[in-house]
Amino acid sequence: MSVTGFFTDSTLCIGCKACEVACKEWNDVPADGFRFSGRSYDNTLSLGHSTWRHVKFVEREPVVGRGGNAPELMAWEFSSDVCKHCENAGCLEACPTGSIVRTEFGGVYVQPDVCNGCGYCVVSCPFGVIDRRPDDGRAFKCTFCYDRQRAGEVPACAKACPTESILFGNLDELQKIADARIEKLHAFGMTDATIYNPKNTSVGGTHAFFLIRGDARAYNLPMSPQVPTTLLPVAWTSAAIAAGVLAIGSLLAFALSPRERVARSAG
Amino acid sequence: MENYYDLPLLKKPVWTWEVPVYFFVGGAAGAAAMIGIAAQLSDADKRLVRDARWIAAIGANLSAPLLIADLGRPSRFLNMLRVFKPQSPMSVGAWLLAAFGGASTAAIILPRRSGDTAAVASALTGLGMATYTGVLLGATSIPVWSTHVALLPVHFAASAAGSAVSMLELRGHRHDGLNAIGLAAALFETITGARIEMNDDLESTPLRRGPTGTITRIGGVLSGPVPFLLRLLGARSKKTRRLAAASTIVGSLLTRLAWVGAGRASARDPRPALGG
Repeated sequence: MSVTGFFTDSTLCIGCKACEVACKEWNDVPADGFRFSGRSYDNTLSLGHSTWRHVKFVEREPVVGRGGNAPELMAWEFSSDVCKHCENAGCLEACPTGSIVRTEFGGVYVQPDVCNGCGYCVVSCPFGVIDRRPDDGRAFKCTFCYDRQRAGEVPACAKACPTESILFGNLDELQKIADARIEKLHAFGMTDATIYNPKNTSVGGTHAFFLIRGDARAYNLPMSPQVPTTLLPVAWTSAAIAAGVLAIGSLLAFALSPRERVARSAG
Repeated sequence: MENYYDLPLLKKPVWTWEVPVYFFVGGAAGAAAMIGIAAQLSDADKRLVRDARWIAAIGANLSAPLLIADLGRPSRFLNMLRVFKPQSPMSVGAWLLAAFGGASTAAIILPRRSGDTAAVASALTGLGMATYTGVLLGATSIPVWSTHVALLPVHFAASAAGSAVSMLELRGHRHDGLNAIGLAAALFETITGARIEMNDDLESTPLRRGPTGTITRIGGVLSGPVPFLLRLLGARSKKTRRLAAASTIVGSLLTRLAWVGAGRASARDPRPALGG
């Protein structure tokens, strides 16, 4: 089975949120609040246990010559975010029950019948995607529509996207499409268009990658995400030293001390 | 710096009070098991050895319920032992706690030689109990934890050792070995507190500012300079040593609460996680 991916092109997104709705519908994801945020058209604010696709509305100062916008208009970009399905996935490594697995399509999937809600995946995701659903107790995130993929179907968000901003397909093919798209946009003069796919970090690239404009941080995407397992050698070395000092220190403290000066006096 | 409406990038830890309390209880229990063996090998008072084993066993048997209570699905706690994943500190910890719970309980139940063998197993796994929680926090995406990944296991071990000797002292034991361990732990905690105060990196902000900064500071003073001075100057006074012990225990508990709280505050700030 080939490794599949999402290529989400923000320059084609119109901010319609059909992906958010399709995802909720297909996956039976519960509502998670009706709040007015005041932050552009984004009342959803982030991915979470009950938001597996999230359209970001990035408003910026007008930049003359920024292709696609008239110079006098504020730059307004939309980008549909999703679980990155990391090559080296922090949540998958951290999961102590083996609930989180890599599927035959290369996606990262939480088996709901195994998860016991320990919450360790939540602090191990460098993208802040996975979270524990309070009323349910288990951790949830995008399943990459594992059920649909198994049936040979396209994930719900990609299926519903009216502009093909969300492309689903073979990961290598998508890379080629993305490279061609970047070339085209640069030729148009949209020179700030870049691919966000952190291949040169310990995450080792993502199966869901993005075409964005300018600084990734404006899209709440980290410059240099790291999979926490890279910290394990330092952490366990420190623990081994601490355990050694505690053991030898305790033995020495007693070996070198005189007997109890006063017998136990109180209970 | 550019970001997305100052919204958090990371998800905050979902752990409630049970987890930091477990860090304290499990750590102290683990260190107590090691201290019990050290006391036994030096032919110290048998009551000291027995009390150390009891602290280890009670701590271990409180630890499991605390952790189970914090699970989103407590009825599925056995899934923790469904697989063993060395790359997951949570998995290593679950197995460690299972082994430590069995060994420390056996050490108080089994007679003589088999009890002693169990006590050795309890001390070995106890060393893991006193240190692995530092790995658990350090090897994550939370900036305030991961930036202190090298410090946390040693810091938690010192805190655990300080608490364990303090519990034994509050039981009335006055062995000089206990005071020596308490003194070393308090000295390390004093240095750690000073280093945290002197850090001015963005990642460490929750350890210095806001409510978590206040708790970090109070916990640091109570488990560092206060018991250090009391133990150094008043080692011969029973009252002073009891005061040092009580201060260490409260300080150690506050320290664990502060670190988990700091993790929550750290996840709220998008700047360190976004990088740049």
